[in-house]
Amino acid sequence: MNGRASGCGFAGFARVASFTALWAACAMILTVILVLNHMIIVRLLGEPIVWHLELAIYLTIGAFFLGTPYAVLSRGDVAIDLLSALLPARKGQWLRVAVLLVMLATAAYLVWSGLGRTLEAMHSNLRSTSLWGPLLWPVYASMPLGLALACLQMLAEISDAISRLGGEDRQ
Amino acid sequence: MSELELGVLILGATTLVLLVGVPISYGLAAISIVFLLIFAGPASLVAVPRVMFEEVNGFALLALPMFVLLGSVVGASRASSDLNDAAQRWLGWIPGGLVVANIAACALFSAICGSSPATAAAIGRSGIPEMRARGVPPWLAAGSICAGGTLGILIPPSVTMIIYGISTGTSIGKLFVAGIVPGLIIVVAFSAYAIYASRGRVDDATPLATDFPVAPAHASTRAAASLRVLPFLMLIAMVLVALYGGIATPSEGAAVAALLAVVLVLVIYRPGLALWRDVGREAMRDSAMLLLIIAASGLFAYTLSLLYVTQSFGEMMSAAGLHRWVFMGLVMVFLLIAGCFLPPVALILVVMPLIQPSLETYNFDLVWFGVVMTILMEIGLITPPVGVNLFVIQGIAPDIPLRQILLGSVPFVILLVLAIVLFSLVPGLITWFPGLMVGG
Repeated sequence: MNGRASGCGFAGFARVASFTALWAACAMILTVILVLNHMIIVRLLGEPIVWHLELAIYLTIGAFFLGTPYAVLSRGDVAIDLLSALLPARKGQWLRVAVLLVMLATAAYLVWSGLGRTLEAMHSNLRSTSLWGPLLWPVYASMPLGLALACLQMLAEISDAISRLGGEDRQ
Repeated sequence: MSELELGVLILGATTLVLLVGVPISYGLAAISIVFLLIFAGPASLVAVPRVMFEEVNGFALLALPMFVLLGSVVGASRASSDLNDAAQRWLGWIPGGLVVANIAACALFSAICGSSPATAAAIGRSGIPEMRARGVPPWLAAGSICAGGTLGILIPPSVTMIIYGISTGTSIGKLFVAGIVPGLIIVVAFSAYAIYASRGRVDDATPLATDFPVAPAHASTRAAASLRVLPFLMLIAMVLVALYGGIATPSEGAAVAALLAVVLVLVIYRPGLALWRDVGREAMRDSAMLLLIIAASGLFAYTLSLLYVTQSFGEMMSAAGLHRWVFMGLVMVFLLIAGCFLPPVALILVVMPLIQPSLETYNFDLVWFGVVMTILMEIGLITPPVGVNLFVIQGIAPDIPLRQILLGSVPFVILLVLAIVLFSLVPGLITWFPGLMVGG
């Protein structure tokens, strides 16, 4: 946790992002175990177990979406920072705010559309077409949930960037 | 507006959004949503969450976070300095061998880690000061690590190749195996140049603080230095053999490798709980970032296809009636230029949906092209303005001016270009080995 946004009342978001990243990492370890277990059982019994790999895929999807807030917090997203490096510090900070606003608008739209899909799956009791056939809405829900947390982290980052700009003005 | 004009507009807008600094994942998603809304109507947006979800809903994709976990675990341990030490004891006694040892350490570490910037940072941190202490010119020390680091995306297992495989539907196992021979050829070429460039410049008689050998090291010393890193190298060799023999899928190989890497680091380096927390978060951050890029690029490819841009581009290329190698030359020049601005992951995901149909029409082997494209992207990693490795090296050796780092990288860029020419003249150097694979 870098705590960049901690001074603006948004420290809680950073803690949540850090916490969800750790849980997502635990889900990944579970995925590794599931794949290994499936591999061993298939080699020994010669028959695939349907739910192992399907659960591993769903866990990975859930872990990936829940990891997105931490990617925002730690500035882990791949971006071309050339322009902000060339600009003077203050203009670079404004550019950072603009970039975060584009990210926020995009993520907010994905939360909204992902939520619609989740509710639709929930109401229609949508299940996977595999033999195991689990309900799909919990998997779909990971997209709006993870990206909603990412939105909160983006808000914290925007607040932090604007307060820095305000601080420079006062100086 | 014709489909081709629309395609130019989309690519222009995408380039602009990415150059402004919007992360690739959010940038591609934003452009897709805006263009779908304007040119296909609001009803087309219903598909957005479905397309993004489906893009990451597959067994092959499991390999990606697992190899990322493997790289994070090994990268956080002291394996890189042990590897560098072992390479120096094996190769350091030959003239200019210190530079060769660092290139070899980069090649070996990249096989474990799979990331170019991480390889350059891990090996360069100890390698550059040691080379400079021995009198290696700063430009050569920086250039060799810069270029050696690029091997991370070519020598398997490579995260970049997994993304190429997923994006194009090419066998990830074949891509991994196809990277071995070109990787070795490039390591030999880099090493030969390092020996040539070191002549008369390196003081091979000065011992270093790290008990660096100035004469051929005794077999027992070499064995002791290799002991700690050997299990990691055996781990990667085992994964490759399993893939080559058709014993395991890339996802299964990645799961075995990730779990064994955790066990090996626990046993050999005994790290504390704090390191595991950091490794977990770092692995999740990198995986989330990569998977979000893949999901967004799926949406981008869907948008291009729905707006008939991909099809029009393919038709235009077919109608142009170019000779297949003229077409390939144009593609290579384009990738070389685009690679100077876009990181490898973005380049693959943005460009491949457009050119894959034409590559298939011109009957190019996608495994061969995957390797060639990877080498082209290696060049992008060490050329301005966004050559990541250049800035990694500047970060760990701030007293070496960027101009000297660039100067040191130029001969290696030339070698990479020559390698592409060689692999174009003799494609079998890439395709022969994967062609022998079980199930291939």
